[in-house]
Amino acid sequence: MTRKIAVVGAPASGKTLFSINWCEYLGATRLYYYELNGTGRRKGTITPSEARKRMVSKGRSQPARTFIINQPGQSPSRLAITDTFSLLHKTILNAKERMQLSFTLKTLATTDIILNLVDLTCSDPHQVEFIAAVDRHLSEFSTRRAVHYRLLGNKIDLLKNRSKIPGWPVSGPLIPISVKTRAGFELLREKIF
Amino acid sequence: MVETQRINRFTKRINRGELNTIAALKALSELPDSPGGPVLRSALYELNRLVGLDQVKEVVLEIKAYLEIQQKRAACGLRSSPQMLHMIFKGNPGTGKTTVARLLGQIFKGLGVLPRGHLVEVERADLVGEYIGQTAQKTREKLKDSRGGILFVDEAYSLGRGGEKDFGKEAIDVLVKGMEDWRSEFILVLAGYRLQMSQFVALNPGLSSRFPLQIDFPDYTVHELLAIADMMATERHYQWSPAARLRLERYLANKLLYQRPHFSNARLVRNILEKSLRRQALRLSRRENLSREDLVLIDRADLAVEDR
Ligand SMILES: Nc1nc2c(ncn2[C@@H]2O[C@H](COP(=O)(O)OP(=O)(O)OP(=O)(O)O)[C@@H](O)[C@H]2O)c(=O)[nH]1
Ligand SMILES: Nc1ncnc2c1ncn2[C@@H]1O[C@H](COP(=O)(O)OP(=O)(O)OP(=O)(O)O)[C@@H](O)[C@H]1O
Ligand SMILES: [Mg+2]
Ligand SMILES: [Mg+2]
Repeated sequence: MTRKIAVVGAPASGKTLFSINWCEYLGATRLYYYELNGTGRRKGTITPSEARKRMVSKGRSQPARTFIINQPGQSPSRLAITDTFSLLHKTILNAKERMQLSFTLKTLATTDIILNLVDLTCSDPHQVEFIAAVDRHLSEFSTRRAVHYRLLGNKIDLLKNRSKIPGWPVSGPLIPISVKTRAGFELLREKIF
Repeated sequence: MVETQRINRFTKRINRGELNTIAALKALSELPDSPGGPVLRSALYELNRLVGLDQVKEVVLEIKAYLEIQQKRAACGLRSSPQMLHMIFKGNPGTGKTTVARLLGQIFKGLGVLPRGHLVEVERADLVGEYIGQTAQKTREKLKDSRGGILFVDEAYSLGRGGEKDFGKEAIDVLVKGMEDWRSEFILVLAGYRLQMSQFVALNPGLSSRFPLQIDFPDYTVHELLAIADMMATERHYQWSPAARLRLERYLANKLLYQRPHFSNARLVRNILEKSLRRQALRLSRRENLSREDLVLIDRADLAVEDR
């Protein structure tokens, strides 16, 4: 049995860094991955620090990938975390973006857990509106399907203090984390397992 | 797998450029439950839990099986004949008609037959107006509310009384037209007492062919009514004392014998229970040091029935 987690969110919300750091936090030292970019697939094994160097966003158009780790003695013993293509706030998507969105939807439709990462430092009201709409639909979807859904407010290390967490119109409690410093991982682990 | 097919259907729409991110996520959130998914499972569980109603349960399972097989046939490229799902429910008050209709909505939603599966419950006064033109408007309004779900017309036979001049006829015509215009977008359930419904259908020959499913809701036996009383009490974390239960049994047997068909079955049981709970509360409020058992037990003296 494999437990499937889908990590979704807007560009640069920290999906990739989260996926890598979460695997490492769970004790993995080598990550098996298969990657999907516009043109094809790639698979291999990589250490977390190498993955951070190579996969964390530096520019645009990041691939999606699934990391698979084994957790001996745990049930289920395998975890597959899919770091999806970023969700784009656009009226019209080009051909490649459509393919990417289709992939994200397929992932969402077959996953056990959905983690929606939002960047708490975002201050553009249009983007916040987009984030709230994404959250609303995902939360509705997950209630109907009895899928676990969590909304993660990322990058709290960049906020001066917790009182600076913005009061966005979202569906439920936002779990504050820093993917970079791993603050909040403990709490998250309790909440999703 | 059926699930992948369902997803493919709308990833195609994404690829054609019809859905952007938000529209696609919205469509996903509205996708009917997967077969055997939680909505369907819990509705079937609730249905099964209902006391008695064996024939009703059987018909529901038949419909469910038929729909599932049709979907599988369609997936193999075989012709699937759409089933008309409009129904007539015949039964006395409190025999579970509304309850079953509500569960059917959920079951059809779970099977992907209805997108919303909600129940809009109406009676004559909600459909029929006082002056010309008002009836059509009121009825259309209710049809609109029920799109994607079930329109449940209680005591539907009352639409047929009052003869040719009565506006009830107009309501029927609008409903029938709605069934044709909005095929497969809503399901119409006409409910009412057995005898009156049979007469109603006989007097409106067009109806019978449009309602292939006619389901009978028989009166409950005393034994079933007691089981319902137990179930309703347990759900609320109460329990009948043996003496109270015995008295209730005698009372129900008597009612059943002398009051049919004006006997309101499970509704009567619910009313008795609810009144008894208030009487129990009053009795307990005069006492101190109440144990858990005191709080749970409904005594003979609490039982809200008048012995003659
Ligand atoms: N300070 C801080 N920076 C973060 C945090 N999480 C992610 N980042 C940075 O944000 C940037 C984007 O991170 P990624 O993990 O690549 O984000 P992504 O969501 O995968 O981005 P795309 O794949 O392009 O959609 C990187 O520069 C990260 O180092 C955090 O918790 N704190
Ligand atoms: N078989 C059953 N098992 C358990 N509870 C039942 C059963 N049938 C009915 N009930 C309960 O009895 C009450 C009355 O049922 P319901 O309203 O469905 O009856 P009805 O046939 O629609 O009555 P009416 O024709 O008077 O509207 C509800 O609280 C319902 O939950
Ligand atoms: Mg990324
Ligand atoms: Mg009713």
